[in-house]
Amino acid sequence: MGVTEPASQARLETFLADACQANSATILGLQPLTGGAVQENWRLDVALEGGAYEGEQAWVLRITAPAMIPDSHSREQEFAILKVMEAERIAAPKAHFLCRDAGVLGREFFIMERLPGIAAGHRLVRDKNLDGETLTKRLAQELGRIHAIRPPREDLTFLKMPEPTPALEMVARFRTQLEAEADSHPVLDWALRWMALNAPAPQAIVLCHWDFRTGNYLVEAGAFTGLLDWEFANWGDPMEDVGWFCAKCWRFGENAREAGGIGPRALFYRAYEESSGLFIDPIAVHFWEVAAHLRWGLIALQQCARHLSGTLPSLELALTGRLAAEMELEILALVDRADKGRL
Amino acid sequence: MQDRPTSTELLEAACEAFTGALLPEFSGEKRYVALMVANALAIVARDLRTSTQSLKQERKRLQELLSLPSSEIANSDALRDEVEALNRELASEIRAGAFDAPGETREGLKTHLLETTREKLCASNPKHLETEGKSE
Repeated sequence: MGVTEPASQARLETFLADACQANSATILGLQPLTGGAVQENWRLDVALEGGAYEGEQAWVLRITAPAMIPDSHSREQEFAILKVMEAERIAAPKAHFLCRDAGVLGREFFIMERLPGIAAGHRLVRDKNLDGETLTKRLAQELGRIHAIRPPREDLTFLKMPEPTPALEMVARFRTQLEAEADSHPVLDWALRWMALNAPAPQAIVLCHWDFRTGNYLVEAGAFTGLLDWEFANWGDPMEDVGWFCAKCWRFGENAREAGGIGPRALFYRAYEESSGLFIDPIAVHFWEVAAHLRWGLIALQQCARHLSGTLPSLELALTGRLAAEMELEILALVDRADKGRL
Repeated sequence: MQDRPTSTELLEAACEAFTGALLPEFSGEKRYVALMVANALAIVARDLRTSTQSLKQERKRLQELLSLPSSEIANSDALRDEVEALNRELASEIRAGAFDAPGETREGLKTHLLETTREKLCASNPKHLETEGKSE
């Protein structure tokens, strides 16, 4: 059942009219938004007659993709996380309506606010008019505010506490994924062994976004407007998000700007410490950067496997398999730097 | 024996024709797909030129690291299977902690892994190798 089929659109209009307590809902536009290999995002324009949402609304419809990546939340859970972000005044799209009924569009979906701006990382890091330092500080502040959300939370009971520690849980998860691979990958085993021997203890357990990186936030006229893609958010070590953000694989080639390809690492660290009240532990960040490249390397292998198995034949996924070696090169450099005590 | 051009020569000619004559005609989503096709063709051309030689070098290093006698199988399918078996053994030694201690053995492994990764990238993305180390 395709989202754009006339019958689907008619059912969607009925759902929206009910959800908004409107007399009627008319879809003015429904186009796929680029980005998001895991979920499908649609740009949705609706005209409503009557009810609290009367008038024209600019929304995003976020629906579960047919092929899911392990560890991601359901739309219902992601909807609940966005509600918490709204309550905590974190810059993220406001979640409006959840639809669990697969009879409407075939899969679970929700409707959320459409924030202005672009997310495309490769465009953002090369934008000469962008004030990268201001943006770096702003992002660090927001991350610090997200990390102020701590367990236990009545509204986030579906999130699991990492056991025995975030780092060791990650090692176990990566080991399972690596063992499931058909071919052997000695560099990834090397990364995993190093992680098992160098796992840091967390200074606190906080809400981690787990995909906090350039390409997942929106920027409009140089200003940060919101953080997207909350499908992996979970309790974890705050340094996980810092390591992921600074990892070389998320700098889009702008390697000298170590904070997400947009600004200096030291500036990001300083603003984060001020905002979060936590301290940056460079050894822990280094650990999570190794973890970041191992995670990306495993995703590359899994994406390629989706093509090879025929689950989702695609040249893009096939080519992704060849990206694993880029992650391996960085893993080797990071472990060597740790061996030489240069952290 | 097949007449010239060889597979590599023919593929390289196809690559050049595609990139030179067809690619500029595409825009938007089609250009994105065309760029991926051009990239895939270029990778295969580089694979064809280097993969057998790289595999033989990788096999030699693996046999040394694992203290195994050298072998001379040259058939490319058998060679790939042989290197995969050696890699499987190396991975299990890494997991068992055989390279944990600082010293010559550990550094030898790191050198091998780096050379193997560089050989893979020489075919898959040589540009990535050019930028290596420039940030630090």
